[in-house]
Amino acid sequence: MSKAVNSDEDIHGLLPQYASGNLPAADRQRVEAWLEKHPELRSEVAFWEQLRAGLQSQPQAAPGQEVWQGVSQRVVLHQRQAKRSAISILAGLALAGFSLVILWLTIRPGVLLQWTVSGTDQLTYQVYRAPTGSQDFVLLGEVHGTPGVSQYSYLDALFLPGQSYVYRVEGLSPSGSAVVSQGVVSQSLAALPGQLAILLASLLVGYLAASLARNWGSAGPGRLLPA
Amino acid sequence: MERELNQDSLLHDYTGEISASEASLRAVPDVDLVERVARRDQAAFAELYRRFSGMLLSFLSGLLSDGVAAEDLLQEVFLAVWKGAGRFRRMASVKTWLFNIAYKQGISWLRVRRELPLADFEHLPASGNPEQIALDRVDREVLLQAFKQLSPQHRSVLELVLYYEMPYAEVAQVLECPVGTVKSRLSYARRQMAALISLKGLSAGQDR
Repeated sequence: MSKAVNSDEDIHGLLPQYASGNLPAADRQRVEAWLEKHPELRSEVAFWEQLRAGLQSQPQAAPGQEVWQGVSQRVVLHQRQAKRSAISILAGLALAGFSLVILWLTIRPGVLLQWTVSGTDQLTYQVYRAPTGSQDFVLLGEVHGTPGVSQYSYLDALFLPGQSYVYRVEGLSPSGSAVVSQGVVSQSLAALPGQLAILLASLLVGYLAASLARNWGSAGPGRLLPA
Repeated sequence: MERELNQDSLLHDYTGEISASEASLRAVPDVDLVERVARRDQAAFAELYRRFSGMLLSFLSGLLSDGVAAEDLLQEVFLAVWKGAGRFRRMASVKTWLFNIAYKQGISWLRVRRELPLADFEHLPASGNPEQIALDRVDREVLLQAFKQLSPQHRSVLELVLYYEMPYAEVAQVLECPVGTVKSRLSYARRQMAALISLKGLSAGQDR
C-alpha cells in the first residue's frame, strides 16, 4: 500500500521534484490531484519551474584539455608514489629484519649462564629452566664438554620479559651419573633492556631506510611532463 | 606487478581519434566502467571522465563560485576516483558516488577558506511572508541573483534536484544527510530567496 499524501507538508516537499519532472508516477498523480483541490499551490510549482529554467539557461562549464592533462599527471604521480612507497616499505622491513638478526647474533641479549668445571671428566651439561617458585624444570639445551676446557656458558634468549626463572645445570658423565648444580635465579627484566634496544635500533634502521628510499629520486612532477 | 601507467596513453585515450576499443566503451554501463577503473583500466577511466567531467565541473563551479578552483578540484575528484574505484559499492549509482566525492571536496575547500557560513542569513529579518511575494512572477534574472546569494549547501540541493534531476534519496546520499534534511533545505532555500527578493525590492510585484 503506497503512502497517501495527506498534508500540505508532504506536498510542499514533493513540489521541487515534481517541477524537475522526475517524480515517480504514483507521487505525480497524487500531487496533481492535490493541486486540483488547492490551486494556490500552483504558484509554488511555477516558482520551482522558473528556477529550474533559470538554472538550465546558465552557461555550462566544459573542462578544457589542460584539465584532463592535470588529471593524468596526478594519476601518474600517484601511481609512482604508491609504487615507490611500497618498495621503500619492503626495503625498510628487509633491512630492519637483517639488522635484527645481525645485532641479535652479535650482542646476544639474554641471560648468560657461565660455569666453571674442575674435573677432567668429559661431561655433557644439560641446562634446565623453571619459572621462579615452581619446580617445572624444562630442558633448554645441552652443552657438550671438551677435554681441557673448564669454562662453559649457555645463553637463554627466548623467554617472557618480566618473568624471572631458576636455572639449573646438570653435568652427565658418560657412565650416566649426574652432577647437579645449584639453582641460579635470574633477575626478571635482566635481558629486557638489551633486547628492547636491539629491537628499537632495528626498527630505526628500517624506518630510516624506508624514508630514504621514499625520498630518493623524487624530483617532483616536472619529470612527468612529456618533452 | 602492476603495469606502469603511461601518461601519453592516458592522454591519447581521451583526445585521440576514437579507436574501436574506445567506441565499444561508449556502450559500457557506468558501474562496469568503475569496476574496470578499479582494475586500473585507463581507457575506462578516460571514458568515465568523458561522461561526467562536464557536469561535475559545472556542479563544482556553482558550489565554489570559482571556476579556476573548480577545475583544480575536478582533477582531485578524478584522482580520488582512480584511488577509490575499488571501494565503490553498487548500492549507489556512479553519478551519486561522483557527486558525493565532488561535494565533499568542495565543502572542505570552502571550509579551508572559511567561506562556509555557519548559519545562513542570520542577518535577514524574519518578517516578510514569502507567500506574499509572487515568486512565480519574479524575473528569471532576479531569481538567479537571489539563488547565487544562498549558501553553497542550499545552492547544491537546488541544483541537484532541479538541474541534475536527482531523486531526493540520491541527493541525500550525495550530501550524506537524511532525506528529511534535503526537503527542509529546499523549503528553507525557497523562503530565503523570497526574503532576499523582498528585502532588495527585486520582486516584480513590488515594482508595479
